[in-house]
Amino acid sequence: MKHKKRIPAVLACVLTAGLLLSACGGSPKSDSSSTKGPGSSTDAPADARAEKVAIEVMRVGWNTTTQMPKEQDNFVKKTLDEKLNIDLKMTLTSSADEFIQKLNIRAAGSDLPDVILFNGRNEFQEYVKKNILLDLEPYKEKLKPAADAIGDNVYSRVEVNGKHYAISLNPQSNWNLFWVRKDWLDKLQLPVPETLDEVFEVAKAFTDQDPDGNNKKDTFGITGSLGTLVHLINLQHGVADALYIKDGKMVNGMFEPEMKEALAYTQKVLNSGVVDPEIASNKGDNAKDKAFQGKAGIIISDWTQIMKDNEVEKWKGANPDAEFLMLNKLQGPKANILAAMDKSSVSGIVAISRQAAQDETKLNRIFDLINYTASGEGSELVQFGQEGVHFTKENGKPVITDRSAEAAFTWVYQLAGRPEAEYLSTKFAKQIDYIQASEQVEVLDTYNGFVVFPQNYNAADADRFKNEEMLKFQYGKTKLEQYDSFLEKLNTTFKYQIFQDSAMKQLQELGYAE
Amino acid sequence: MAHFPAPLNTAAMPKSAYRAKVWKRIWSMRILYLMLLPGVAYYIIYKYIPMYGVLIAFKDYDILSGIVRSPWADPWYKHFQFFFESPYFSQLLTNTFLISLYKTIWGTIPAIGVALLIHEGRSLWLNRIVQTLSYMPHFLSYVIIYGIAIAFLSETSGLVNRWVVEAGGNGIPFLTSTAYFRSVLVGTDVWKDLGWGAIIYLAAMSSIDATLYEAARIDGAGRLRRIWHVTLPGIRSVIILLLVLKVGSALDAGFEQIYIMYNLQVMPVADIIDTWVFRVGLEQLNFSLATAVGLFKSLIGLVLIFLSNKLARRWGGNLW
Repeated sequence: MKHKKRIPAVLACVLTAGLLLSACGGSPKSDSSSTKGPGSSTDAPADARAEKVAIEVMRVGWNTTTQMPKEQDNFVKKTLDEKLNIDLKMTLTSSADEFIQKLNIRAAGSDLPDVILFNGRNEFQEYVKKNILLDLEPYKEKLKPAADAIGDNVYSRVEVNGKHYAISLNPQSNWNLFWVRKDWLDKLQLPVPETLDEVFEVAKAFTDQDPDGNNKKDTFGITGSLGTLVHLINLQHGVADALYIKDGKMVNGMFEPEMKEALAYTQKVLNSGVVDPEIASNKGDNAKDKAFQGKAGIIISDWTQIMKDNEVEKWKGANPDAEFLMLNKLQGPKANILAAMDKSSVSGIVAISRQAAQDETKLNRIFDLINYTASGEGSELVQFGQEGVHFTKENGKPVITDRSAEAAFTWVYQLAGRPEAEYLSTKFAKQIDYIQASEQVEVLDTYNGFVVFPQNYNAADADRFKNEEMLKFQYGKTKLEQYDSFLEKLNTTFKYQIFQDSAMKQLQELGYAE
Repeated sequence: MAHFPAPLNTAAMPKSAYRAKVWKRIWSMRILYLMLLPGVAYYIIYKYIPMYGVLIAFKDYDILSGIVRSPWADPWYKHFQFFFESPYFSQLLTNTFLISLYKTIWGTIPAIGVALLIHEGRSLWLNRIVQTLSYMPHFLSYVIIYGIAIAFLSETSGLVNRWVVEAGGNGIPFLTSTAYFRSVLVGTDVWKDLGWGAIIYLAAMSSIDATLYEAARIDGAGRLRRIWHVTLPGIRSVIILLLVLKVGSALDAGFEQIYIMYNLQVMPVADIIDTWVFRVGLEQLNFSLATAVGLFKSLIGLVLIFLSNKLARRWGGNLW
């Protein structure tokens, strides 16, 4: 008996101890390897003999997250580590949502990465409000090389309350445009559409006249996402759900008379049966799949989704005769605009956490890192890979080699952006025509990005109401006569007026509005 | 081995003697207490200590300052007010209650039915196969369930709608129409957890005294009679117990499922408190608001569970 009794006692002790340990024992402090880089090159920073500094960069890596090479094959990390005497760690997430979730969790635990590359301005502003990002004002001299490489408005685009917490990366202009199946046009002997009305006439023909020739009425005209379709229709009416300048005055498109006309047009289009019935709920690649499989003849997309080599392979694979044509010029009922870009828009926002700044050596290395990738050999490394392996120089201009696919991951190290024109013409030599053509698009400048949401305005609720009601107008479930009372309710119940007033005031203070 | 002594006779004892006696009894059962310790430690560490985080519902929580040093909200009910003043408040509450009510009803009755069928089934191997198959979907994640739902119910490419269109009808927007969405929500949830929910009822049924069935049979009761008069009354207390527990979580309508399955078109019938909190609170880093709403939910849940327990006492199915 005596002997038996001891077992549960011991068991209980062990269990309790285990529980306590697992609860209290945090992750052990990771010892940063203090081995010195053996071949510190000559142009390394002055304190090269100091210890390697661990730097963590966090950003959205999209598909690349799972395609990163093993550490020993990662020539970018190797080069950067050696040149700058750092131990660079990239923390990547495969989606923007995942990024912000992980970042929030780490912020809640006061364990932020050193360099954070935000994709969205809202999240960035939230983090500024939380006071966990470093004010860069005192360090502008040190960041000058990167700032010079990026351009004039590197700080002003992401200014918050007059302060500069981040450097901004230049925007990429990948417009969502109509792409039409050229082979279907030819088959039905239709001309290339030049006006918005003609686009929908073609869509109707694609729906009714059996363009794939299988004697079944199983195609429809247009797919994509409802948001982009509505956006294009709005723009062609000279209006956008945004803040922009009209006749020299800052306006909110929601309150402009053209918005109603555009809505009426959208209603007509959506009820004509030529649009993918699931356009409002397409997620991920749904729409692209439909277009590539030949279920839809027009897709709203940007060139990267259609013309990158791997995409071409997909739709050529489904139908070798397929051919997509981009409509970069279109005359709408009121305007010929096909794109809107925020004056403040950027392709990324690079901020440094205040935690990282507590260690001055580390902070300096971070600046070195950003500056190094901004221009010259560093910039080429993160754009194209290793010279002589992934690209060669012809007349001083980089030309990619057939091994460049191995360097497809290097973009995640672009911490100061890249010279876009040079980059695209090198990397996408085959697609350069589409890229240049899409640059000729007429663009509307908008200003929403400069506005910080006022305190007692619940943006999530207001957005939901706005989007939901607009959807009803678009599908004709609500009559257009109700539009004014909808605005009234948006302004009062959902306090949109507070946002509107605050936005105008903020834009005046910044000097964009009178 | 440990044994259970008779209750203390406390009436005639002086206090000190009473205390000594209690300690003695505790000491005599020290092994049992020791075995209790891990459980108690678990609850203290993981359930009670984290509760001090509830403080941030009343503070303007700032990540860098931490819970203690963040300033108090002014007024203290600021975050609660923000929630109550949302124009969607009543809609959120209605949706949450309705979805959770539907899920409770449809999560109980069919499960009991399946449990009865398996219990009454006389072919042992068939019972086993049916039981295993029916509780397997429980282990699928909602992303997969959503994928299956799309494959069957999508308006353009779903199997069901292909039949409907082939038969000359129009595609039915199961996933994008306010008329169908809740049914799809509840339907997929029922499908997922049907077999799983039946397990506990089956366990309760198998503990019913077999002599009752024999007696009923001798008295001439048929199979349905036996189900009605023996099986169902036998599991009544388990049914009530589970219902009481479910009422306590009436404000949890299944965040994961709805967040994955909803879209703008069905928001008016699908947006629940938890999805709102996710959009307004967590996506915008408003942890105080999220906590305040969480606290509100817990309080309502606590009140509900008290009330339902009181009610359940009448049928002898109370928790305490």
